[in-house]
Amino acid sequence: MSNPFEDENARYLVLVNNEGQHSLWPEFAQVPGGWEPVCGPDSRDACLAYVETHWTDLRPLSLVRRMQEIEDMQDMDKSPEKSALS
Amino acid sequence: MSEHTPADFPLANLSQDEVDLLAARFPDLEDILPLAPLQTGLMFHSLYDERAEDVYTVQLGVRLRGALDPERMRPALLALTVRHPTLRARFVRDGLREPLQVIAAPEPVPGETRDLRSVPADRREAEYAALSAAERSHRFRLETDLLLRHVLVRTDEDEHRLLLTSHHLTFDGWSSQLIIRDLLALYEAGERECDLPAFKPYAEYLAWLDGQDHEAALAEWRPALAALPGPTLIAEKGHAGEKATRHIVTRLTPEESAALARTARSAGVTLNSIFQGAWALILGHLTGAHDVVFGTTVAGRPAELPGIEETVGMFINTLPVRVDVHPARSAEDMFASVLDEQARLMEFPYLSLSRLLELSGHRTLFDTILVFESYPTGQHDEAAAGPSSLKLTDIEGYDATDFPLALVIDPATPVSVRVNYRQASIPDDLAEQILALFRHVLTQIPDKIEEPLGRLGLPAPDRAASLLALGAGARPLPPRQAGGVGRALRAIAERDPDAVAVRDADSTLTYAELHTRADGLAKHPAFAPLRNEDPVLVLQERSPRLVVSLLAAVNSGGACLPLPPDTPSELVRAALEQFTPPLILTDRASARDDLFQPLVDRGHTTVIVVDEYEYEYEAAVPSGAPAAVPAIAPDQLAGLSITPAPTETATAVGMTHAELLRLATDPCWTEGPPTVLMHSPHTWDALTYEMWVPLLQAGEVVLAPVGDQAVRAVRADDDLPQLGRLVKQHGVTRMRVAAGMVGRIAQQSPEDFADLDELWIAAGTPAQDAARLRAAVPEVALVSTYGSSETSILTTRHRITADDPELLVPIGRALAGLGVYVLDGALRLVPEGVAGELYISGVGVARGYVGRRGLTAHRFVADPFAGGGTRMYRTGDLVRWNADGELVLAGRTDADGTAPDSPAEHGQAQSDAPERRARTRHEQVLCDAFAEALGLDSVGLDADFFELGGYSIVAMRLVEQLRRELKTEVRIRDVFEAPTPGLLAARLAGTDEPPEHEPEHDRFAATLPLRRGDQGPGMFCIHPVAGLSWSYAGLLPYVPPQLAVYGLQSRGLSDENDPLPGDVDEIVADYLDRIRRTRPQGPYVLLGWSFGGNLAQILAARLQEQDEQVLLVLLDADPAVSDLAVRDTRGWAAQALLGLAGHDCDAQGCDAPGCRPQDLSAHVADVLGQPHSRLSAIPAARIPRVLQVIANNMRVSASLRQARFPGESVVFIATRSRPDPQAVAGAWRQYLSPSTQVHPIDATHNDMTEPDTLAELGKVLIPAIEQFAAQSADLLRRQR
Repeated sequence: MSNPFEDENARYLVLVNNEGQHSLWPEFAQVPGGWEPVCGPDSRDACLAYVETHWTDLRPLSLVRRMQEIEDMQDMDKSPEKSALS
Repeated sequence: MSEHTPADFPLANLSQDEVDLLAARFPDLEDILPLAPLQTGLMFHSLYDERAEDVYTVQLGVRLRGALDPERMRPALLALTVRHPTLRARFVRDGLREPLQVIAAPEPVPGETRDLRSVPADRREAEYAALSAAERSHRFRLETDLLLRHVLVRTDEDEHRLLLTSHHLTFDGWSSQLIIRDLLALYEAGERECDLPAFKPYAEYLAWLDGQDHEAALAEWRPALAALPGPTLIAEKGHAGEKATRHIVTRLTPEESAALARTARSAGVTLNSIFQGAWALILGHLTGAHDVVFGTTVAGRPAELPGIEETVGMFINTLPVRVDVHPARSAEDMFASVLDEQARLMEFPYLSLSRLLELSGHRTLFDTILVFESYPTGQHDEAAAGPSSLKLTDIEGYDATDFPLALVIDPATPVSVRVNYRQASIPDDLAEQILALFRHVLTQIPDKIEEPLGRLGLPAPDRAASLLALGAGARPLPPRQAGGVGRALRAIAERDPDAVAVRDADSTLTYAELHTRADGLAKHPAFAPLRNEDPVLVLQERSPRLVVSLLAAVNSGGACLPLPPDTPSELVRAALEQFTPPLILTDRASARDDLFQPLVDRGHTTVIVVDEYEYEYEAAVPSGAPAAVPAIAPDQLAGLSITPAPTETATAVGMTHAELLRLATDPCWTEGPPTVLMHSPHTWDALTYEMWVPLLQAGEVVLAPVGDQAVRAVRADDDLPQLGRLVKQHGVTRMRVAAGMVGRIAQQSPEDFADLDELWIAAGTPAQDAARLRAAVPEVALVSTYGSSETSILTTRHRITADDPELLVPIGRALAGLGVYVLDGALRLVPEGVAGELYISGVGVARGYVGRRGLTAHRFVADPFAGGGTRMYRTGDLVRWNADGELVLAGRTDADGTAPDSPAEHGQAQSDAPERRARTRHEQVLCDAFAEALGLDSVGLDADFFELGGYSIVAMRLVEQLRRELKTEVRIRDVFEAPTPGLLAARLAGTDEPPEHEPEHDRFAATLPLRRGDQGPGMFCIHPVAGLSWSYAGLLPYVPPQLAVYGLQSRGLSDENDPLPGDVDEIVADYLDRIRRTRPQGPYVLLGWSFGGNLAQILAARLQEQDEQVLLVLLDADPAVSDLAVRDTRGWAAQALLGLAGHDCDAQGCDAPGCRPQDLSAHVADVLGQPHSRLSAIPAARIPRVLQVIANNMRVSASLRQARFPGESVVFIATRSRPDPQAVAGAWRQYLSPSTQVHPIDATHNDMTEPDTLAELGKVLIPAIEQFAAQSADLLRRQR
């Protein structure tokens, strides 16, 4: 069985959604709703190289924000005088 | 001395010896001709197995209204064969270097007349159908028979049906129109001269063929078939001998047809190329391949031979069409290249398929053909138009081909598409979907001809919606709880602090204690600097302390990475290198100081040995003191699951707090707090099932002991009795086991597990193991599951409620909030029943592989169905939907399902070994014959016929030579299945290993022809409880030679998916149907040994009720077989099978009923594999299925109710097994005629079909059958 994501000779896109998640995507297929092409059409290797350099944090963006908030809160708990300054 | 010389037959390339031989055999022969390429192929297929039905026996039926005179029809038929010499061809290979066709002198066309007017009108059609089926099943002898015979059936006062049965070697479909026209004209003309059009003799066509440049043709074809990865096959392997075909039709609307024609014109392609391209696209969709092949037929009548259109003969050819359906290609581009290639190759339409197969390097290329109807149907109207006393009202043809599915397209507006398919190989539903898909593609082409093929919508929207609905789990659950796993567990502890959370052999931890300790551990200073999602490695033995460590790690906001203590060092090292955990929790027994120390030295990591630290934290923490728990985002990781194989970079997948909480509240679990046995090696995945979910459900986790320190590698699962004890002792309610455990539990100690509420079994469990366990512990809910770390561990589930007919237990349907898609190679939903790749969508899809961005981006991909920027995970597993709407595993995408079955593969194992030389004269003869046929100097014992360039025509030549030299029956099939001199020598000597592949099906066929014959009664031998009828072959010398003899075998032996009968009524109905289909009319001889006798007796009674003459022969059968039913186990089944093989089970040291169950199949294989075993032909792989069939026969024997059969019976009783023969005879008396002959035989029950016993039986059997045959023939005559 041929898989459309494993075809070394095919052309691909890199798609990104609003959580900053990246997906390799075969050029022939319609781009699904909620995704935007950010790279390609290009070779599979080139697209994966793009992913490696551009997708630096695999966490969804909403989680990154939430974890940051938690961390900020914890920092505030730990150093109230610091938060008073800011 | 013959008056003919080779020069008389210039095309045939004969020697004088050959001319003399043929002249002696065919006095007054008219011509000798070579074979056309397609004839060679047809002859090859017909002779491939001369014991099987010949699929190229074809039929032509016409319905004639008016006063038909049979006395005029016979001369008309003769005149027809005089006019068309091809109808008189015999196909000869015996004694010749190459097969040839001999045009013999005219002779009357054999046949008979039948009158069905006495048959009730509503049964005439069935009667006629049975008659034509019987005609069809009767093989022509190609060398000697006139390949045409007829039956003239009077169906009404003024209606006849003329049924012509012929062989496809002599004429094609186009010719049938000519035959009917000419026959009716000759009938009309009678003695008078008949004015029919002139035609070009077939011999001139052969001469034309001979003049073509075949090498040039091969050169054109070669690139077209180069580097083909494999054949394109969509059919299931059907049952041998069954060839019921069905037709379904769809029509485009006139508007759709016109749009298609317009599109073809403007794109500059033909309609035919559009149909071919569309079909290729469907094949790609169904097989997942991008490079597909199907067959097409060409008329083959060369335009440069005027008058050839009036010739009756075999011209058509089947040729491969190969199409690249890569989804990135545009439809227009595909059609254009199909057109170009076809235009180029159809210049050379006369190469035989076998030459092209050879060229391709594959033994088969396709199992579907597309036929573009090139002559108008209904041409017979014209024939009926002339002045005629008869009116032709209908023509019907039975034109079987080798192909399970043919797509027949009538391009006239509106376009109609017909699918002809064999029901044994293509399920009805699939055929209907194929037709719908084809139509759907055709209607999209006008609008999408410029788009990539991958954007043609498949399937049709309504079908897509139903497939998506099938794949969708229940509605997503209400919004998930805020906070993490820790908060949820703390809530349980507050609600019910004294409930036991963890139990091991000598201690318990309550929920309160568990939290207290975890909080205490978390006070260790190493916890303080942890940030959310920091990895925490937990490498400990299974113990209450492990649970404490895991909870502390998760509470800390870190991502917990648990590894079992026997994790290989390479994997631990890889995990340490990739994740550099700031904190490692371990114990004295599991610590790997050598691996940990470098990290500690670098200052990255703190190691806590929990069983050394414990004293401190227990002392330090006042009981019940609340601990500060860091805030946790629901979507942050709780745990990490690591690929359990050493890799350069460990691949890990995280599971979030929200996911774990969702899973624990999924409706799939039985309600109430469970007691769960924790026994598996504790990776995060296993812990999810065995620890986290039960704790989150306020349940109790029972820890299986780790066992002796010295043998720590021995896992808990290896000690089944201990697991059983734990389950009973602690009242375990839920447990999960690996696929392989199910069979072990079912065999060894199912009762230990009878008190479980639910047993979760992993994907890949054999269905028969599950069925056995279900039967043993019916109260336990058996749940089959499928999932992986990438999709929250648990993705689909299936509650086993009935015995599954599949090989493996289905994996079921998606859990709530998840969805599954089964997709082809272009991300399109495939039809139910068709294998595709499994993709998973919805809430369970993980974030990705930790730190592996590229890998994540191509395994976790955009979801084209759900939209909204969501993702799906592609599993790499092949699955299909079964008839119940449940998913079934069908393999892996990387375990290439379309492996080329090229000749080169065969015998590969031997290619490196030194060449073996022949050891016996027999082997030497074979080596020499191989060498000669292949044109080589010498050939070794292990040289593969096909690797050395052999192909079908050469195989025919080889077989011919072997028959001459060895004076033994050799079939072409033998060469294909035993393609080296060594294998063939063994096969011909009867000492070979049977092939494991498809051909063995024949031996397991439901109806096994033991001898063909056409006169007198048909004899059917019914299998004993062991299901096989092979041993009846020994009867043949004692059955009058003109009788056809068939063995009836249990259904389901040849096909694992064939459902087994539920009771004796089902068996009887099936066997009656098979008997009637094989021999539509009596008289019948029914014979059965043992259980087969019981069945034969019921069948005899049924047939007699239907006014048939029956002779019943019972070989040591007993009407009281009630004890058989209780032996419904594999052990007893094995004993029955070994008994049939002539092995007395006990004497061989096998106490079968208590035989170590997991070894049973192997043991049976050993015994059957011994020299001289009667059943050595059962391949080891098939033994489990055979045992299953036998056990089923035993089970259904409970529903045996003998009938009353007052007809002729002969009863043999084995006196060595039944000391009181009179008692058995007496038991039969109430069911049989008082005149029944009872014959004691000095033998045991098992030895009834031993040669010596059969010789004894024969003394009675031969005169009994002869007398019965004479009586029934006499009776039939008097009835007429």
